[in-house]
Amino acid sequence: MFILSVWSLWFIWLIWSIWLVLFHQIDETDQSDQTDPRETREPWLVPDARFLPYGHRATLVFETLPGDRIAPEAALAYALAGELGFTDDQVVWVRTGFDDAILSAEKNFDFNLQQYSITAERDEAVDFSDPYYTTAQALVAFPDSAVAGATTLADLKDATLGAQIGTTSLDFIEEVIQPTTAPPVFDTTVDAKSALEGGQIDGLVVDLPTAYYVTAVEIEGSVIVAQFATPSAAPDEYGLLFAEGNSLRDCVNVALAALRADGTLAALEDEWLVAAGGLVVISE
Amino acid sequence: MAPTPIERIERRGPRLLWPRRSSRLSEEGARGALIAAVSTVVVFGLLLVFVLRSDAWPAVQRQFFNWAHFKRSFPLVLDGFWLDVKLFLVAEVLILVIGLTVAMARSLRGPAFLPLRIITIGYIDLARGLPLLLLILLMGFGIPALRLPGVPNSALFWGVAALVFSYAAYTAEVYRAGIDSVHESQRMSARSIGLTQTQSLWHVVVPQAVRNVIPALLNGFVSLQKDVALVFVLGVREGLREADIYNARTFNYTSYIAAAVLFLLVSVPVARLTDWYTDRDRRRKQAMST
Repeated sequence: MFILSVWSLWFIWLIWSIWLVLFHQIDETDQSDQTDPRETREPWLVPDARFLPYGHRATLVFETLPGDRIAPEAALAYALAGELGFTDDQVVWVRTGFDDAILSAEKNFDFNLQQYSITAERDEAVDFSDPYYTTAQALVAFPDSAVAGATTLADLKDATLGAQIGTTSLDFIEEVIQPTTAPPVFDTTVDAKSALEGGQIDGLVVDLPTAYYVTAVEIEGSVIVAQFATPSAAPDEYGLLFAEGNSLRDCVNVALAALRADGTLAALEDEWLVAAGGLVVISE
Repeated sequence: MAPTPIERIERRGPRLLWPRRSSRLSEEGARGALIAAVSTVVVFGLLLVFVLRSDAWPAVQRQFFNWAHFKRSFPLVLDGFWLDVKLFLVAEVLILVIGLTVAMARSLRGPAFLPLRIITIGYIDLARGLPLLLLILLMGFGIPALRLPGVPNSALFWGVAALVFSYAAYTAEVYRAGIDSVHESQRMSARSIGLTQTQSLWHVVVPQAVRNVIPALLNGFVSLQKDVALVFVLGVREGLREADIYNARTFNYTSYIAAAVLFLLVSVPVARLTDWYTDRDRRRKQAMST
């Protein structure tokens, strides 16, 4: 009898607490609907440390300085200006931050080029032109590595090639290079670097802009062995950034299409990304 | 013929979920069974309703319990999981041997063995005091980076080495508890019939000690069986990493559920084996004392 009464008390307590939890849940959702959405967005305005490397890359490798014609983005800007009917001295440069340019309400530029990858999240805040550059995949290794002299995909068949998780580079290794050893997968390029230094992998596949950054900053002594001609299945695409709803975008898209058609874009890519690095292009 | 007390005890079989009751209380037991059944159904039923009623459940089901994704990811994860099983088997054998050696070294008495005891105590403190993940990263990336001639640089090798390094220390302590639990008179009688210290440890103390700590060792098996997955940080394509890769490609978490199912398929039987062994051991001891 005693046991029964304890059990029934326990049941009542259980059901009561479940109802409490249910009601509390409803209360909480009501409250969260009333909170100011700007409160939850605030952290986004703080500069994101993850974007620092991209800023470094722009200054260290491409040297994107205002007005100088020493970077692919600058060269592209002047080519676009010409196509749109402006003279070179009508081009005015302003400095902006990377995240600020996306998030600030007042845009003090017509368009912004800092190697912005076109993503759906960014597209909600700003507008992008058609892509002006599609990232190629590249092979990074030490000069004494087994893959250092590779010129064809067949040279890489027996190599152990690493990649970072969640990147198109990993898909690229498995689908295009198809090496006999399954590619080791790392959480960060720093881990991949350790594996490269320890000789656990012969080479590391990353996209070309990352490869420039990795060889210049992250992995001392490493080189870009080659660029691959075949693009990966879902490559990063760089676009010009406009304020949301800026009608200039359509004109720029027409100009971009013209530059693509007459080979100017391909020539820029070749000049700044392939010839500048003295890269071998592996096409088959 | 009436069953002997031992047979009577053994007939009852393992009692995992059900507490032992004496026959005098069997009526009470029947009512207890009814209450237990009802409460089990009600509690789990309510929990299920509570979860399924949630507004977010369809989204969670799509993200975590998606049958199409399960079917696609399972073969990939299984492929990597075999590596986990192989690593586990290799590591476990090494751990049992090295752990016992360390425990015996630590249990040797006498001033001459002091350096040995210092080394083993230092090793055990170091290995148990460091997080396993840190050991794997240090040994897996650090040692190959030294590029020492003749030292292997394989991530698999150093991953297993780190697992063995860490687990052998825990296992040594388990063994030592077993060795300490054997009554001092056993060691003294062994010594009195002329066995050396090592001989009395090996032939008299250790066999009894090991039998006492088998449940604790099996517990270590279960733990290691999951922890082998940590070698994924070295880039090794084992089960958890394959699930990870699938998740990064498809943004769906069902591959982790597939990995979870595989790990459970191995660890649950070992857990039941431990229960069965512990139960048998207890009954055997009870029978001996009757």
